[in-house]
Amino acid sequence: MESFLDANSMKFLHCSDIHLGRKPVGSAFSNYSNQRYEDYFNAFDWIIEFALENPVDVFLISGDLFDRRELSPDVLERAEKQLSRLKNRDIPVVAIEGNHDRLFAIEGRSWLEYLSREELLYLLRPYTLEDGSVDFPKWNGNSGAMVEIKGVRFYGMGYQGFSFQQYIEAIANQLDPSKTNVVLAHTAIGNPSVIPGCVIPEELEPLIGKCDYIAGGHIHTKHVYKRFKMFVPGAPEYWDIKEGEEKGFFIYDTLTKNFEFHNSKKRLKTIVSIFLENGSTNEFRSRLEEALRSNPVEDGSLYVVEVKVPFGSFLEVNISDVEKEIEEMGALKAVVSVSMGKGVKTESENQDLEVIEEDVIAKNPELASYSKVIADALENLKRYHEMNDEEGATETIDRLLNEIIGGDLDVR
Amino acid sequence: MYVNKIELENFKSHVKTSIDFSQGLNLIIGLNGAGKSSVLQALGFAFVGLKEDGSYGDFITDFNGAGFANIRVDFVASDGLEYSVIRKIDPKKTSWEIISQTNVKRRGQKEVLPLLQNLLGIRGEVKKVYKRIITASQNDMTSVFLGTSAERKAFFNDLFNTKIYKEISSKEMKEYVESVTSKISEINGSLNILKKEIEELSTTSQELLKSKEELKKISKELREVENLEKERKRKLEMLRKKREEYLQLLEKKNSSLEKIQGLEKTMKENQKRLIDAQSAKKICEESKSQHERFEILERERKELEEQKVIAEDDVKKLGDLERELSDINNAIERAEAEITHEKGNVERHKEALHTLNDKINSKKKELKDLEDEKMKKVSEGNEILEELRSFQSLSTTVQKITDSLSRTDGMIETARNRIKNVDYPEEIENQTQKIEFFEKKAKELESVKEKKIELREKMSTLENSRSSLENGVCPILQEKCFNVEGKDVSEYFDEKIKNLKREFSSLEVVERKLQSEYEEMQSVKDKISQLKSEMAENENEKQKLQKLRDDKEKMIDDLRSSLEEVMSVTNLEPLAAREYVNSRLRELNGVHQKNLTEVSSIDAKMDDLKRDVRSLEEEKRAHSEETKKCEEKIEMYEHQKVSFNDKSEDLKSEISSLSRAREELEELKKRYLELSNTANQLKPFHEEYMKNINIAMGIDEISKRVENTVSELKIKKVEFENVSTRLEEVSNSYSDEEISSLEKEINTLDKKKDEFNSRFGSVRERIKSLELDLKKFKNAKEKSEKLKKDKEFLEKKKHLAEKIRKLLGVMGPEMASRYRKFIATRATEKYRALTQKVDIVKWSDDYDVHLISPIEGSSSDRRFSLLSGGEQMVVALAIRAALTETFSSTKFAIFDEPTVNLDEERRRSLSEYLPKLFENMEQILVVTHDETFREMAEKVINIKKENGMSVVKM
Repeated sequence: MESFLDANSMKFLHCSDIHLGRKPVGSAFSNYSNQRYEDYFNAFDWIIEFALENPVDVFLISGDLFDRRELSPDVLERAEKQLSRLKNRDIPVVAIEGNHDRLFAIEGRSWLEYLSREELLYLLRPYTLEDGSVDFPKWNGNSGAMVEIKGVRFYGMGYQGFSFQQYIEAIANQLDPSKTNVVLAHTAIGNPSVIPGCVIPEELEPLIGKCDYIAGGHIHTKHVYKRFKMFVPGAPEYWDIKEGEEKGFFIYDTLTKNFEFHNSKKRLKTIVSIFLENGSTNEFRSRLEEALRSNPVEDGSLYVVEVKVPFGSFLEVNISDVEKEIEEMGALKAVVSVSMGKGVKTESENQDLEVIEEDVIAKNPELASYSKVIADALENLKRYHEMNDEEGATETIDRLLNEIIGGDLDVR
Repeated sequence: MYVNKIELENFKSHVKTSIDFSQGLNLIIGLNGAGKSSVLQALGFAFVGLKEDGSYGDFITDFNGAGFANIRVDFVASDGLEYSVIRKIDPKKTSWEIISQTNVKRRGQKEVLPLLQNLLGIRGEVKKVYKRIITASQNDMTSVFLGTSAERKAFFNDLFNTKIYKEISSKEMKEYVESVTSKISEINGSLNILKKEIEELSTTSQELLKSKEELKKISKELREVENLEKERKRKLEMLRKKREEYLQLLEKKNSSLEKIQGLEKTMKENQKRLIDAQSAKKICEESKSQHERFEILERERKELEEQKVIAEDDVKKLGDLERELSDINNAIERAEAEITHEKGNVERHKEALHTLNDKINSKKKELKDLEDEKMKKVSEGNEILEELRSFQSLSTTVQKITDSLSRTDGMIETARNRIKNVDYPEEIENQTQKIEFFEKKAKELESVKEKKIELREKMSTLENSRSSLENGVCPILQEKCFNVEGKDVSEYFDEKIKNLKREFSSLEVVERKLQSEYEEMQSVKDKISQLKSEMAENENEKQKLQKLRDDKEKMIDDLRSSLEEVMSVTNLEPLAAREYVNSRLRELNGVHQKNLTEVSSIDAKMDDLKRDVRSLEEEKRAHSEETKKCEEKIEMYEHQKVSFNDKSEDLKSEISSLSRAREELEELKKRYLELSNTANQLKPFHEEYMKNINIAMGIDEISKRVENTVSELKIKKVEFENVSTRLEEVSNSYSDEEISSLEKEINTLDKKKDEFNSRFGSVRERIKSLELDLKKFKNAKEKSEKLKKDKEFLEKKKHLAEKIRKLLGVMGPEMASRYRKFIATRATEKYRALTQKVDIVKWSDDYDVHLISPIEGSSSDRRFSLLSGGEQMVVALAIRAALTETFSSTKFAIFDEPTVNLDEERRRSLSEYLPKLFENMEQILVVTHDETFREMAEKVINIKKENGMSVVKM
């Protein structure tokens, strides 16, 4: 009994999107770039420290360990030193490539491949056969897409952009549900046409009941999708200054199936929102002063001011001057962003078309509360209309009406 | 998104073209008709399936009659991965395929187009957005804003695709509503059928209840018949048992009678045997006393016979003992004679031992004396040997020292001879003075040599001058020279050279003399160094001699001290000492040898004596052993004698105890004869008795057997009586008539039961079918409920679909207005960023663009047509950038001949603002025939037409 437990019982740490080597562009007069460059190493160091003090059996990196495909010697040397600390304590590192550190087909070897050959980590990669089908072969000592450690199977799916579906279907056929399976994939749930490289929930369905843990990444804030057992820890340090706060790493116990989330150590950031009513300079100034009073600038911190102006009005203020003022108050970096509209900020600014449609639909009092789903369905409906696909159109309408009414009786 | 490479095969004028692109601005430049636009056509066809009017065949080159065309575009998509899109065209059909960098493939429009839309990052209608927004076609730059209101409306409404809402409303939504309606009426039909069915089945439940009652009644009656039958059967069973019992009892009675008869017969036989036994008993009683007398006699006779046997044994034994006794007495006599003989032997050996002891003692005394003498001689010998050894070592030392002394004397002599008696310092001084003289001479030689060189140079100068003057040109006259100082050239120079030669040979004579002197100096120098080395050697020899003398002194001292150690005489010369030591050594050697001889002669004598003693002791031991043997024999014989005596005594007492045995035997024989006679007279009585006694003895057993038989007979008779009584009882308790009447009754009941059972079955069947009907009824009811619900749901759907349909029908204009407002806002931001002005771009309902510029307190509002050419271009670019951002997330744009039909002002404005506006783009393709953008391009691709084919040059 005990040996059975031992066979499948382990704890692993899961982190992602470390982005070592990132140098955000800053003003020529500040050392913002250099300080931030250190921040990414520090955040990673802190996670490694945690793994050494609270020993885990395996250390997972779900892609984007590096910020770029090409590395400077300093980045490589420091990454090797950091990974060696885990190796010296016999903690195996299992990693995949993300969109930032994966290679184009023609470029040959990636730096992660180099680290894998140096035996600092297992780089898992699926293979595509001549006929285009996808395979997840077992680790053969040099390469592979699956490695078994203490009875737990780790599969690496890497980053597959808009082709995740094929890879998910392929791996679903290959997983043995009687085993403890962990799948590393550099993706998260989202709208791929807004954030390329995300997957929609339907695409993940084949994995339900077949794997214990999907170690996701790509999105830089923490997300847990319990239905799919998918975990996205977020980037431990702000890749973009406007990113959300919840970032860290997971500790997962394969026996109890419990997970814990730990926040990462990152640079201090303050966000203040300002809503303007008429959008005049005076209004902006007085609101900004209020905001700075109630949220004083801390030395060396990041400071973000989100300004909302009414639709159709324009702020007559030199944004970069305001940013400079806040930096002179001690902020390492200040960002002032101005946006229009109701103040509801969507995932990306590029959803304008749907927002407009939604807005128009919302004017109809009977349909107002379903404006979002109708707008989403309209998107598909337009495509089926163009393609003259009646079946697709009917299916879309059915699905939309079912969702609104709360039933599932289709016309077809 | 950006394109890495486009490959064209047989596509229009491109027979085989491969173009590599870079990120940033790419310029495709060439004259009209060179094939630039074909590249854009190919790209549009590969990316979104864009095609002008005409057939696919128009894409295929007519240059080589290939009959097919291929397009391949490699690009990096919005997800950061590489893809290749491949289109194969033949006149009737085309294929469309997209392959990812990991070789994942998708084929066909239905799979490829949605993926491409995502990969390119296009929102809304793919083709339109690609054609109108991503691509800026020639003339579209500004002219699109300048057309009539109707033209503008047509262009932008088409772009915003606002009519699609109405289209969807009147097609897809309409169809949907219709199909929902038909589905609802379908459900209504089904509901009606169900309603009828329900009505028909509504009585089922009551019928079922009735049938169940009936079933209950039948089963009750059936149970009653069954109970009655059961009771009858029980009774029949009982009667049948009685009949069986009667038959059994009858059998028992007969067997009991048979047994009684057998017992009576046995009893008669036993009574006869009892009478026989009683008569035998009487005979035995009459002959009993004679029989007992005979028994006693017979026992006595047996005893006597035993005694007689014992007495005969005793007589025989007596004879044996007497013979044995006489043998033992003889043996005792023999042992005594042996003892006397052995005692004599012992006496003789003891005498011999005595004599031997005396002899041994005298020999041992002699041996002891010799031992003492030997010890004395040996100690003398050791003293001599010690002295001898010290002299031997002294002699070696003396010999060594004297040898060294004579060698040293020889060396001293040689050394003394080697030392030369010369005064070296003075000799060296003499030679050194000579050197000083020679050094002066050497200096002279040096100056002579220098003078010689000088002369030779002079001569050569003269020679050169002569030859240059003879053959060349005079440096002064610039012509050939014929005289010098009035002389012919050769004459003038020859004279001078001759004089110099003379002087030179005299110098040579002096040089030779000085040279020989210089060489002599060298020999003197050699001499000095030789003298110096000789002097040093001489000093060395002197030191060596002194050392040898010191050595000799030391040796003499050593010799003296060695002598002192061994003897008193020390003041001897070395040779005398050696002589003395050697003679003393020889003397000591003699004395030592003599001592050794004496000791060995004593040893020989001692050895003889020891041998004598050993042989005597051997003899003594032999005698002692003989004595011992004799004594042992004596002891043995004595022992034998004693044991023989004991045995003789035992035999004698035994013989005396048997002395009467022969007489007793005679007596016994006489008595036995008497007894036998008496017994023979009594024997006939005894035999009669024995004959009858066994029969008489059986009386008890027989009379017991008779008794047993009597009692058993009694029991059997009682039993017989009992059985007879029981038999009578049973025969009265049943009758065969009763049994047969019961059997008949049961038969009737069975028939009745079958009848009930069949009735029960048929009612139960009926219930089953009624239950099925009930189920059907319930199903129909449920189904009808569900259909009612579905109907309700579909009606809701219909209602909602109609609403949405209505909404879509009127949504177009509202959307267009929103788009205009939204894009104008974004365009304003762009415009402001580009120009650093605070103007506002407005887009009115008739799609006329206005630029509103604030002027102190109020503002000026100008229509697009009233703007300057430069302003028009900036506003147009700002709107285009806003459109691109709104309708795509791609960072890719195409400009197709943007400068065509532009005046200089617009062209300048375009080249100034276009790159600025699109600097965040990943890639911009500009197709042009002029040079406007050449210097800001990352890459320039030249396309020319050669022999009707397009040729690309990077």
